[in-house]
Amino acid sequence: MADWIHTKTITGSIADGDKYFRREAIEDALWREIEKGNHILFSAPRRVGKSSIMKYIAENPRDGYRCIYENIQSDGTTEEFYKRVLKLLIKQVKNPKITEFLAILFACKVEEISTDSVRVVVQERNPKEKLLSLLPKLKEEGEKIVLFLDEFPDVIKKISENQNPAAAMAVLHTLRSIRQNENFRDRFVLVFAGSVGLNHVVRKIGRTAIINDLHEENLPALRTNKIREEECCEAEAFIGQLVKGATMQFSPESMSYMIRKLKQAIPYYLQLLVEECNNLLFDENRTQLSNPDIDRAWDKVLIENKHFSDSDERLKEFFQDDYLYFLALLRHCAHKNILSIQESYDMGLAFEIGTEFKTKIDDVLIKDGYLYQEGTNFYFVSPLLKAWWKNRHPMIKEGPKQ
Amino acid sequence: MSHFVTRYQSANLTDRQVIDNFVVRTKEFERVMAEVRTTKTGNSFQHYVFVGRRGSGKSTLLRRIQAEIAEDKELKKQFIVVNLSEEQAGIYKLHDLWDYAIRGLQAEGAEIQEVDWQTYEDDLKEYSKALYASIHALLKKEKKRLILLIDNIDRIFKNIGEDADLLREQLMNHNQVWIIGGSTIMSEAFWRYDMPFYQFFSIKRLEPLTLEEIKTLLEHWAKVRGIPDIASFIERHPGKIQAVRMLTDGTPRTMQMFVDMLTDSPSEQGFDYLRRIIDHATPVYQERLLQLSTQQQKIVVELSFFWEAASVSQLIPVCKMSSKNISAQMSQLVKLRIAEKLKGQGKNMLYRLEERFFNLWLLMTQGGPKEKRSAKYLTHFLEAWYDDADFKNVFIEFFQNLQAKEMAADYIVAMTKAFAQSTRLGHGDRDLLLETVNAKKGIPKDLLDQLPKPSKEKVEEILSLYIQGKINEVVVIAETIQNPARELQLIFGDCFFKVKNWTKAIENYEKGLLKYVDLRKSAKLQPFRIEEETSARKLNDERLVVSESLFNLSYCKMQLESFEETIQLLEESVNLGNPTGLSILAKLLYYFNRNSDTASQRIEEHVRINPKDKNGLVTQM
Repeated sequence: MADWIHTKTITGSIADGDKYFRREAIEDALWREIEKGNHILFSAPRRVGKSSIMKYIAENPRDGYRCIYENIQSDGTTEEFYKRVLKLLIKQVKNPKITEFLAILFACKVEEISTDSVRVVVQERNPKEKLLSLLPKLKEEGEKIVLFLDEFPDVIKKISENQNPAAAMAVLHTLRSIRQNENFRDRFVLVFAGSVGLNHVVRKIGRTAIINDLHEENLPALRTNKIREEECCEAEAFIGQLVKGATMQFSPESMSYMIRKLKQAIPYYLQLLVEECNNLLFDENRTQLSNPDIDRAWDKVLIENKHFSDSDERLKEFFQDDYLYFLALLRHCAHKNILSIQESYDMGLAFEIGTEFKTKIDDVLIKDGYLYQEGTNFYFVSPLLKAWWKNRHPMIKEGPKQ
Repeated sequence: MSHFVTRYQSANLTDRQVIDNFVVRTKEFERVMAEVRTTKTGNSFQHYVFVGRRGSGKSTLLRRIQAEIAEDKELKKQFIVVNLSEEQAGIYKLHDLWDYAIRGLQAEGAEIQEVDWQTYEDDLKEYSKALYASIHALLKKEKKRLILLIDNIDRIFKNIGEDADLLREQLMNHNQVWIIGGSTIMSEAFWRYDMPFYQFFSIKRLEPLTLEEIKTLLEHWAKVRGIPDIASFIERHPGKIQAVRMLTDGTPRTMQMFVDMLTDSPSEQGFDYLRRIIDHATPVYQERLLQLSTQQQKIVVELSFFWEAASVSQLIPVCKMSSKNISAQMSQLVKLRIAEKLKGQGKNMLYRLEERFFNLWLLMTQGGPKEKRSAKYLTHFLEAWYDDADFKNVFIEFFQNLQAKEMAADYIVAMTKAFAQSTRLGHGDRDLLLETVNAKKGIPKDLLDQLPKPSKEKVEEILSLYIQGKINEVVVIAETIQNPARELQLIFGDCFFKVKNWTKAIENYEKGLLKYVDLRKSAKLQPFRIEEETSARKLNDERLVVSESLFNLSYCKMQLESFEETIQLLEESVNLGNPTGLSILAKLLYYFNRNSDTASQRIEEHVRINPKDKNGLVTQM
């Protein structure tokens, strides 16, 4: 047991180094838009791997680009947001002429810009103005700057709540005008990422037209089918990387079984299951994983996530009027694995819910992480929650026919 | 040497002592250390939280991690460890957390830039950022990373509130701080989708120790602390490990109390064992109880008197609170890991106190005169501590001492009640014990009055009340009898049935019907054909009683939605000649689409016997 080599799972934190799984198709898709000069809205439910991909790209920029990734979720006012962007850009400045410009702009010494730019910016009273002054100068950097701003929709939501919706809209207006300004267009790309849909947030405070210039890029689950001449599908490659060099061994059959068990190959849940399998074999001092082992690990994961009953209770407690409708939707999605918008609408009619059905789904089921939307369908975010829901809320069979 | 183990707290030991005495929770420790050793410089960490009940070893595990890094030269070059287990009371905001982290770093000899809080008096968020920046600068300069050990991390998250966003941001943006925490509960901060730390931590549950682990721990204490009594105790009573596990819930801290008791007075029995342990436990449990609201305290105390699980409806009359109120408070108690939820029959949920030893303590210390007089706690302890053979031996020894030795009157009465209430004692032995104690000189009358009645007297009293139709009075008596005589069980079943206590009715009917296994088997092979007799009254008494009991039992099962059993029992009742069961059986078979041939057959039978009901039955179908 002392020589046991554990699997390379990482959940919660950003996966990097040898724990990062390359999703080249997604990376390429992002780079395609960046190279075109498009600004991007990168969204997916939590735990699918957005931050890891952005961090990887930021640390491995293509020639001619300088990238920076930053989680900005604590920003709650317009001032904090602009200061943040300013700090990030200042850190990217290498050209001495721009440094000198900044020293003049901030009325401080040149050395302070290099060594203590954070303090300089923190004390700034008009960060937005300074930002707008800096942006044209970025041309002189030579390389294009890409900013990955993680949890941006949360920031807009917080600004709206802490200040007012108009302030949040003003930020979006400013960003839009920056994006469309010819002076900045080819020098500067913004990638806004979040698990809360930015469209959903903006709809609450103003018109979504303000962000209609953003290219939307979604992050799907790992592919479970092979394409072209792949040796294995994306999900299998992911598992393979997790267990590379580890004591626990997967056979092709057990790997395939695990993927079928989860149905949705979301990285977090695959890792959860792999980690549990690792623990099981570690405890029993065995190396070869079998299908029954996977079943046991799955059952253990389900038991340890017994807080799912709280998810049910919360819906009942806080959304009493709509609980039965939500129950019907979630039950359907749990048993059929998919729920279409049309089906949601049809079910809503039985509960006298009209066209506001979609808003209810967005505001509760999507916002609170029960479901996510892909195209015209909804899916459970968590396969664990889905399994729990299916067990807890069986489909009612029809009674005997007369 | 006594109380040495109890006084053994990991916080007060040297690193070497912690390492030498860490013998359980090793797989959890090794998993984390594997991560510590293999995570490359600059790469992200997997942050952990160990979730386990009080006394399960979380603090010790964190301390062990600290000790391992302190003793490992290579790891010391890469990491600085700060253990915040003692300081959590002062952490209200994120800046408090970083402030204590800085103090911890300074205690480790780090020279860290001070941050003047007055500069940030109006902006505590910036103060938190400045403190973190100070830590960041130090770690960058030292080329090290910080491992922050935080016990009761759930309390920290509860306190820091909105600062959680900033904390997550700092952890995500800078790979320098690694959090390994301990928590009594699975805080919603870890699993709610809209919370910043949703699924951020790898949660490792500390389950109760296995029998093997308990044995390992006891043997280690015996060896390292030079307490041969423990070693010989384990050798002589290997079965006791299971009892220790049950009573201590497999938590090391509670086990320490037992070890103290064993080493102090290994030859003492039952009552004295228990009193000694309870004395040790009182300061901790008293504090735990007082931290609850008064309503919660009331519920906890009343729940303890049930020992086994109880439903909300059972708690209503004793707590004198509404169902809604009890349910709400119980939800909180479950979250606090004071109570646990169990599945009852049907849709009912049952609750009991999670830590059995805490339950025992409550019974002994919080009971009113009635509870204390009943000595139920002693019964539970004796049944848990002794297996069947040992229990018999203890009983025999007590009985012999009763006649040959001088013993304190309250001790005699307490032990007599405990034995009399136990399901392990036969009625013959029970009545003999009661007779002997009642005849013994020197026991005050008010103590003798507390003793239960001998079985024979009890049976006569109950039969008389039943015949008079005083069902509620029979129910009251039935609820106090742990091990009723077989002849009473069907009567109790009938009485609980009439007051609609389905669970108790089922319990008594099932036990009572065990006597009639042969009759039931023969009826299965050759059902009694009802049309051969025109009236059920022609059935012999025994068959009537059993048939009606089965019918009532099936009704109870239906109330609890056990439909398969309902159908089986109805079949048996009908086989024994119960005509009433036919129509219901037919309906159930039809409704559940079970064996439509049998359903049709039963319908025909019903119609043949009850021609006037033909239309009624068919219409209802």
